Amino acid sequence: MEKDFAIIIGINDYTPTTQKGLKTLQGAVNDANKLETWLASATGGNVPGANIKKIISSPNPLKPLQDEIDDAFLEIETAIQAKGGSARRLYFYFAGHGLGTLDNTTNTALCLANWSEYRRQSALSSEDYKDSIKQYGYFEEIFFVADCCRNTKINIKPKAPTFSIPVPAQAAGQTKMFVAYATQYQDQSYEVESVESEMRGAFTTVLIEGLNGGAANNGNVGADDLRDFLIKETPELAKKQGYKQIPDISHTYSNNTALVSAQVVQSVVNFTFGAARNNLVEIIDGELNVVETYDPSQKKNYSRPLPKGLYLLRDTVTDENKSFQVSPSQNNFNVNF
Amino acid sequence: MSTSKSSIRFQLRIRVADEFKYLVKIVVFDSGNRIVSPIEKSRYQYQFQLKKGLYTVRVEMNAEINDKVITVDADKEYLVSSEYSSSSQSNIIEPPQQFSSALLSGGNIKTYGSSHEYYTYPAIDLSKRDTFTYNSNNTSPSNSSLFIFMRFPSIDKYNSLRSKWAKSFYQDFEIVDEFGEQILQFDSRSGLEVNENDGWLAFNAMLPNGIYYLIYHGNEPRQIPIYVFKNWHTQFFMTLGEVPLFGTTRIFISAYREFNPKAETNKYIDILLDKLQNGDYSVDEELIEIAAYGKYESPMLGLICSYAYFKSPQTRNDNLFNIITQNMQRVILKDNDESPDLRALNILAAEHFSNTNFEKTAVKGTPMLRIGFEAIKNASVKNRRLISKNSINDFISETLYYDSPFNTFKPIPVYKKPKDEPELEKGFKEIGPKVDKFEIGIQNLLKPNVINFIKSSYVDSESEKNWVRTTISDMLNQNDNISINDISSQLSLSGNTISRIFDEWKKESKGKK
Repeated sequence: MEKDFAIIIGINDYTPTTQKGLKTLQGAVNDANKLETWLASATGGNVPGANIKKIISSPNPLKPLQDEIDDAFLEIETAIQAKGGSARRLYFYFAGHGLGTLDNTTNTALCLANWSEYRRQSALSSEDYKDSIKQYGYFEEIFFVADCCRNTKINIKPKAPTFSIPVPAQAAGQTKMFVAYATQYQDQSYEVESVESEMRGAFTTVLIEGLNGGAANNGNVGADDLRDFLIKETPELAKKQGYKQIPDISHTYSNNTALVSAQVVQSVVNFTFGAARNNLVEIIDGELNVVETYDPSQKKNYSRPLPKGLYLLRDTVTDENKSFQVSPSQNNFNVNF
Repeated sequence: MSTSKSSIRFQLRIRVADEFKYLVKIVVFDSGNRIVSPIEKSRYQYQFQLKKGLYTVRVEMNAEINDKVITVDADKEYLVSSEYSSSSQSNIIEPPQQFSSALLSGGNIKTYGSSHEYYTYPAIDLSKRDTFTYNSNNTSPSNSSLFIFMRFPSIDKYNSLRSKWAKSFYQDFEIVDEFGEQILQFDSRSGLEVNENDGWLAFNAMLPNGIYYLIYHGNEPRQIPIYVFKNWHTQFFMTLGEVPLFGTTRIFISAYREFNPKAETNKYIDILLDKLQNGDYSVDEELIEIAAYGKYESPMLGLICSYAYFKSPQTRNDNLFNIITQNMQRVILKDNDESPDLRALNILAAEHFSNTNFEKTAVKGTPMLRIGFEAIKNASVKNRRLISKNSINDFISETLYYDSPFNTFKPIPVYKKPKDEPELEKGFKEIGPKVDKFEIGIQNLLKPNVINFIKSSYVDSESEKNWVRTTISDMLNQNDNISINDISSQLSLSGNTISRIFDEWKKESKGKK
């Protein structure tokens, strides 16, 4: 998509806690890299590499600070102007520490690398950035995602962008928005260990899985599909690690507008049946169709590909059952019954 | 694989047991992970019309979830309950497990995961009897008491932590009265019941009504106000970890000197406190009525509902909340006019009704709930007498913690008698008697050496650095003739607090080059 652009921010490195800063994160940069991969992929966001501005943190010098992020937007603005002044979609993604603000339950302070108890205002205002970018009227759609905590501290007044437009463009009112916060106001957002044994934000893990087809219905990931998928899967992933995290998602698209198309892929599911499981077992899909009847008395291990979705294994004699979800992001998936 | 194109729809009814009707939210997802909207919804039941298929029923309670996959191939009914006797087990969906410092229990012990019997039974027992006798010559006895119960999440957790400690978990606490006079130091077991095998402590005493403070002096020291209302019994619960987890505090106010773990109002309070903490000020209509008409006689429920309602933009139940606040002041909590929470409630009510009709004298003591302290602090920007200089609310403004719905802060060592109008001291310039020193620029108020000291205090201060001082220093570096009122307004702090900080800076600046 030539007319799609992205600003991806991933901040692991912060002023050390010994200097009243914030603890170093382990997953924010990984998340930014993963999202970049998806955005640049022809089967993903399909955004030209030159249109993606990725800003990741470094400990020395401690960055990014606000100017680097604002410069990225202004570079995008220049590129859009050079192409006639219109664009299709902007992805604005932030992974790092965040803080809620006491006077506004929506606005979130996206903490910059040098945030500390003494530099309390060194954070981007999510609402101001979202609204200011919208005012340009360039974008038909803005996809705004913040994977960060939203606990509050006193006197947090995050910064508006240093860029602005003198008069809001007429088209600004038409911009469709998909706004996703990883957690509810006053709650925390967690990092979890991924299947590749690296730390990742629970929310971003689910987001990328959803965009990769986990949220797809009928070959497309629609705005409602993605919202519902994030609401369903983020708390489940967090719960597996002993956390509670419920995302806060809203959008202004109508009729489940397709955000991206998704290839229908099948994942290989490896079934292992218990020694006592010797009755016929049905594999039942989400519409209660029997996909296959298997006889575990013959062999205890069995593998087969299945499209994504919710399934049920049912013992045809005892009626015992077990549900499992097939996700397109897991090529090999184990189910014990 | 055959594909079902049947248009037949089945009814799915999910009922919610009484004990959870205000507490849970039900969401149903289809097999494609899409949310299905109910055709009918009330707090007692949700009704869906569904195609044949697999569905996930999610019960959400206090941000915890429990998902159950169900098969819909006929009309079905489920009950969200922790009580297995009322329905067949397969049609029960349990609410997600909860963790509350208050040792609450449902029909099924599993509902409140950390309400172990080895904590619950001693809590019930000790909530009924003294562990400590308070002798005061100055006050007449009243039928009011304070019960404190602290425990670990479990014996296992306690055992995993205790080996790291040089002293027992209870020894760094003390209780003081409103003037900072010690009621009990917890360094010995005298006046307490302590179980060092299971990891719990209890304090219970008849006390004159008024405000008390529980102070923790160990790592990450903290202080929390606890109000004892005349003819009521205050019950305080907190979970301990490596340090006391003040964010888990639960306080109930009971008509009876006995803790009831099954009291429904306590469960509502438990959830409402989490909602307050999350800035969610919605309150269920029926819960409002319970609070309004005092069916359960729970002043804490009334207090929390009122705080939430007055903080919200709702106006539909304005009359009802007028009744609630009046009931609380005149009936339920009569003879407790000095309660800072009631003062704070009046301020929020006045803001809600867009009037300025609230008492503007200095608030003595500080509210139990953080929302109450913030109401007083915010109102003090325009009515600075609400927070007197050197009062407890003045100091809390600098050291408040935000991880609890209760008002917790760094311990304040000395409770000085508040001064309504501070005298000018050395280091301040003399100004005319009719000039409000809060209105004029700092250059007309402070000597240049003090201003320079403040401007350089970011790197040079011997005083404890905190966000207020750092921000004021930054503000003066940008404009060194800003007024106290301007600072007060920008930081949402009382002018008296800003003035007191200037006093302290002035003292610190002495002897500096």
